[in-house]
Amino acid sequence: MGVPRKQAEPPSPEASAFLEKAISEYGKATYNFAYRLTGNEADARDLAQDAFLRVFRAWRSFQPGTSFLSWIYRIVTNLHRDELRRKKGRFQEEIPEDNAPQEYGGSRPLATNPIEDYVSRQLSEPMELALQQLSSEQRSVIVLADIEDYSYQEISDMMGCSIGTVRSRLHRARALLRRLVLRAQQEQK
Amino acid sequence: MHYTSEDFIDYIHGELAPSEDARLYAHVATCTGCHAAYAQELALSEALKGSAIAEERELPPMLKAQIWAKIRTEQPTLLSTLRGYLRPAYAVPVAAALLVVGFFGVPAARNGFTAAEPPGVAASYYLDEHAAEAQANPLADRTLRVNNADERSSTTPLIINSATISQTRATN
Repeated sequence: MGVPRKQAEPPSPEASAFLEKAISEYGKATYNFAYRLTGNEADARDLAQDAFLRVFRAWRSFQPGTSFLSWIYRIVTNLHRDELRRKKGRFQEEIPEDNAPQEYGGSRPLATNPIEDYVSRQLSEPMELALQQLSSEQRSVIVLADIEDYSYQEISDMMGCSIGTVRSRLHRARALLRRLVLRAQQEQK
Repeated sequence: MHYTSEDFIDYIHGELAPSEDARLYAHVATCTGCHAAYAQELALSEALKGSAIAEERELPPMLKAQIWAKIRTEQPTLLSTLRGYLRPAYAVPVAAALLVVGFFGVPAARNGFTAAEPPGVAASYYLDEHAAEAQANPLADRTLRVNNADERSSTTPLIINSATISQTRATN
């Protein structure tokens, strides 16, 4: 006979109200940010869900007067990086170092998944396809700087690295992205 | 002097110092080579923004319900449980109880937690007193005087409490 499962405590009203507001106001932005990092809807859904669970658990650590979006983007970035590390262990995939010479990022696992391959072929936009070939750090910095318009200082705070690292990552990522977009356009012709 | 693509990237993101920003702006207006390089970087930024807008998605309708479902079913972690006990509702009474225990418990522990004994008087004191009274009063019971003398010779001191004393006095 097993030990009776302890019932989860009902969420506190303050935490519930905080989460409710966070999802209604920033849910779409967070989900889209997660989608740009992961490149597919299923992973983006999981990532956004995990991020909001973190928000719920740590809502007291949010400092009023600061940007909620910056806070949750930092959570999403960290969760995504952790997830890639776990996958790295699972697939023994080599995620390229930021300074390593590379043509293609190693974001795709060695184990091929026909469904994922099919979905990735559906990404008709060369830019989307090229973005998914960058490393996680490169993709994050491009999304935050060029799409979300954050300053280098804000990005360094979110990613936990120096401004110099943000600058060099962005420069390298954009140079690589430009080459990848050109290649994808040539392949489409 | 010409600018590099890195300079243009920093310029587009507003990360150059104001003086350098102004210099680059003036240079690009006159240098066709730098203008072309700048236009290339700018086009990439605009393509990224355009792609993000084109690929923008609505929040999946079930996501919110899934988040709430997970919250309602998940078990509290050890850390969250401990954090819960640090709330004032728990922490204040516990701190007060510890203070009380510390205030009263520490001196008691120092004394070895010995129970306080009821006030007692050595029986020999009363017996001596009674013998003295009996000798002073020749009409007192002789037998009692002899018994008292035997009692005094006993090696074990006898401890009696106040109830016994009053009983002894009443008997006498």
